[in-house]
Amino acid sequence: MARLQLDKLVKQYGQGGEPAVRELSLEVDNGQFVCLLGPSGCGKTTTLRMIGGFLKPDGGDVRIDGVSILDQPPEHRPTAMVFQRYALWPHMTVWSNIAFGLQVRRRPRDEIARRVEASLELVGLPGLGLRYPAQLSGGQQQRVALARALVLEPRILLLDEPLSNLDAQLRIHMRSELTAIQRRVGITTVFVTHDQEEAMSIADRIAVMNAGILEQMDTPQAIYARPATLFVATFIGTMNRLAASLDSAGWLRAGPFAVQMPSAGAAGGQLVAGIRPEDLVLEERGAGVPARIESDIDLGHYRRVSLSVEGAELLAFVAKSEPVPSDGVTVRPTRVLLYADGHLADVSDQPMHGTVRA
Amino acid sequence: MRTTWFWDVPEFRRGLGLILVFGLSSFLLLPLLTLLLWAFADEWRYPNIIPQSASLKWWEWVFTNGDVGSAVRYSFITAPVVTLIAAVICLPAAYSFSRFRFPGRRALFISLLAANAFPKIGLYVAIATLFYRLNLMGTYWGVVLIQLVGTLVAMVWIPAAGFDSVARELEDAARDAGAGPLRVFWSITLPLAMPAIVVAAFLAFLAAFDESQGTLIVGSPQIVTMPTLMYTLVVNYPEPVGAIFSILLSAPSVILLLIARRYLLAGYLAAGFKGR
Repeated sequence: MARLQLDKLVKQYGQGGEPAVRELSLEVDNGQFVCLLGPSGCGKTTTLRMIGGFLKPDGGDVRIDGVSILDQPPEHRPTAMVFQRYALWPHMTVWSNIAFGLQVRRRPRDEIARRVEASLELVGLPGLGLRYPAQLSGGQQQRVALARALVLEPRILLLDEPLSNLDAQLRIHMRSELTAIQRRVGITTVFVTHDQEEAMSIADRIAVMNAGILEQMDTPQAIYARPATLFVATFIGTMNRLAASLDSAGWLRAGPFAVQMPSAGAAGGQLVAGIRPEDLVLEERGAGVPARIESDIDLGHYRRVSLSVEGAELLAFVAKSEPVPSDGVTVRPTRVLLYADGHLADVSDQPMHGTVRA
Repeated sequence: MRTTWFWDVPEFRRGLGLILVFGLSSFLLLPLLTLLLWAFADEWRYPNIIPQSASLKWWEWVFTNGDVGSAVRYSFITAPVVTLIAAVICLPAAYSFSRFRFPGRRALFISLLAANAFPKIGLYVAIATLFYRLNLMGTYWGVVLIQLVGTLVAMVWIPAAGFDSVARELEDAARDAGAGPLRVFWSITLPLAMPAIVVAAFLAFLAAFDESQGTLIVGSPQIVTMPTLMYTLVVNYPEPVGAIFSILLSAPSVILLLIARRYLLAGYLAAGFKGR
């Protein structure tokens, strides 16, 4: 089937400016759903358009099953793209929109009819073939765009922020719809988004991009648990950041905390400790550092507690079942990530009872 | 307390609107009404408000006059050909202006106005001296060429705006579905820009159809179209002839306008995909 490889892909707009994509290499296995995630301007859409053939890379290669497709124009590439604003042709009916690619390929009339009906069925829009795009809701247009891409049985499906134009509720519904269809068809998929929650909920693997560079590529769980760079750490989820230093005895001083980090001895450069809000434990006169609660917001399924600890502002997510002490609060981290010059150097994964001193 | 302006009184506001509409329509329609009255008048002298006697004899005269028949024929074999040639020359240019960035693009785009920037008559006399040498004076193709001059701006600028309004994504999507550049143009770009092209073609046709100065200089006396015949008729015959001929001359415009209205209001265009 289809396996997509990007090999040191480079794209530079204009002369002498910063490259939009710098030596990007990644692989997508057959049938895998990969999200390109990053802030706007990070080069993710540029990368997608290079895979689809709409932009010519300035360097590197795009391969499908080991064969370069770089010299093929978009109409010959085995890729199909769903555009951000759907790009349905307004002067054609839904049926003609989906049939267009098959007509271009001169398929027999009865085969076209069969495949168009089947793909309308697949996206859950049977019987809407005679409508015009303007007569459909945003969600329906989205499905037609997906059907139009899938009817050609491409080997790679490319999606450019396809859900960003839908309202919040529909977006979440279409997420599960999209993953269900992708699983059923089993197609290798690259999905571009700037919404980390969206990426976390639909991707098999996430490729986090920043300023044209691939920061990390891994499963959503691994990226959340062990963000490879400080950028990923703050872009995915929330992260408390504290300036840190190591002493010769293997103790990491991170703001008010001191944590034993025996394997971090070699870490040099600028050190920053990262602590996820859910990794902070609040106790009444416990082993941690005394803290003052600045605010305590009940968000339904958890509480968001702002703390002031020896001048440092920290954020803690506390399960609703856990009581927050009203007096003599102490706080301690259960897990600390150490970044040296922005890159992950060490993780203290062991429980930290007794390793924290004030 | 707030002062009550006349504007706040709905009756006044409606009244003012009515006066404006009435004034504008009488400004536009009264001359046409006069034209209509003249066309059917036999005798109409001051101070009578309507003609003293009506008659159809001048209609008969116009329709049986050989010069008129020949002028109508010439008008209808020049204007459509001019429109067609303008489309063949200008549409590729319009597409290039819209889609490609090349050096001098802006200057060229503006320079199309040059033909309209000077008094036409001077330009035509200059062209005529050239046509003399090329033996184009008094010929069909000479008239076609001179009428072409006035159609270029509309036939490039309006379709260029039409091509501009076709979002790049729509073309990309067609490429993605397997269509080559030519197929994309025929199936996507051209149909979506068609309303602008149709409007431009109508304007070009009317510009050619109504062109009189250049046609008079280059064409006469061999080639006489309806507008150039008009000069002769108005000077040499009684008023009803001029009036009848004006009505004949405006018929194509009215018919085209009605067709355009039906075509341009077609459903999908109103709700179409707007390029951003």
